[in-house]
Amino acid sequence: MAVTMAFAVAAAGRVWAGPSLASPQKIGVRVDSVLASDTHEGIDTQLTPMGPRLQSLFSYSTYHLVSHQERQTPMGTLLSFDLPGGRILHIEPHAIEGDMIAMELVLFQGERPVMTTDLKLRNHGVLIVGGPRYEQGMLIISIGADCRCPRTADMGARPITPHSPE
Amino acid sequence: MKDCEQISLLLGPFEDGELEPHEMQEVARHLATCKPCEEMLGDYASIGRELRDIITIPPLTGFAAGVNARIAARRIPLRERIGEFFESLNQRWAAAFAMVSMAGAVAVVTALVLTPYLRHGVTGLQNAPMAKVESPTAPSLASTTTDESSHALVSSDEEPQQMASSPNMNPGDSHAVIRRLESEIPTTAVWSEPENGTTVIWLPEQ
Repeated sequence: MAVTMAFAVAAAGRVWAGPSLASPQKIGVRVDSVLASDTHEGIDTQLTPMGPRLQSLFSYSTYHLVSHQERQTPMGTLLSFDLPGGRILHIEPHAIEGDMIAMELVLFQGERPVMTTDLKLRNHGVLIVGGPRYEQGMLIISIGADCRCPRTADMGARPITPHSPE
Repeated sequence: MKDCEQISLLLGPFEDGELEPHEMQEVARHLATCKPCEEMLGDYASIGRELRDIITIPPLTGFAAGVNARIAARRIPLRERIGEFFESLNQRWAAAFAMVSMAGAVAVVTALVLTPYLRHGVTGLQNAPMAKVESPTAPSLASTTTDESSHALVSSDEEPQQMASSPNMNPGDSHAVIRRLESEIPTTAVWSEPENGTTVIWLPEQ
């Protein structure tokens, strides 16, 4: 009887803890490709939240949203985004540290990696990768990452990671 | 050896010392043996002396002063005076404009040189959030440069807590911490805009 009870408690505990352990935390990744040029056409209406930010960062007269992609991925899974001009962006979130999301980014021009970076981006933060030429202007890639991760004031806190990358 | 007819043509320049050395020598050798030519040379010499005595050189004392006085006394036409006035004015304005332009250029250059330092100082005082670039653990293909207006910091330490080279920098306030950045573009720039919480990696195509 006691053994049966123990098994029942253990099974219940497994069922309760199951979802958090079995399904790794998902990260939402947004990638916006914007064509910035000096053709004096203003800001694309689709760029309403991002337009002023781009205007404060750069001095182009035209910002046109070329593509918007939004996906969710479990931690440790590589996402591949097709970008304008035959470019490809690989993003692999691999850890949550405090309120920051650690990820690896690789930007390809065709098959050739142009830039590789390991970084931690604040939850809901934005990283902009810009500079590559596209059509009559520059390509600006806005990368945002979101997760339901607890904000930790202490950066030295133990990372909450389903798998440890290091 | 030349005959008297040819030598007679050379007697005048011989008297004046204008012949080439070998001609002088030839004429002198001829004169030593030819009485008529010697007499002719004597005539040339006496004519020259007499001509020099005839010419009277006017006294030049006070000549320059006299010329200057006459120039000063000359009445300059009004049109010419107006032209001169405007010309001098032009020169003055040109000099003044050049001075002002130079001062402006120096001011602009000074402002351009000092602004990043001032901005950096201000943001440091305000504990502004910054982007951090950690040194690459693997050999980097490109050196990571920092834009003039950036707040990005480059450190050689791998520990994020020790990486902040600025004492005002709190890693917890960073919007992005770049641990490694490899790029085939040598002029890759990284900067952060704390006002809108954005970090930028700029890859200018060559």
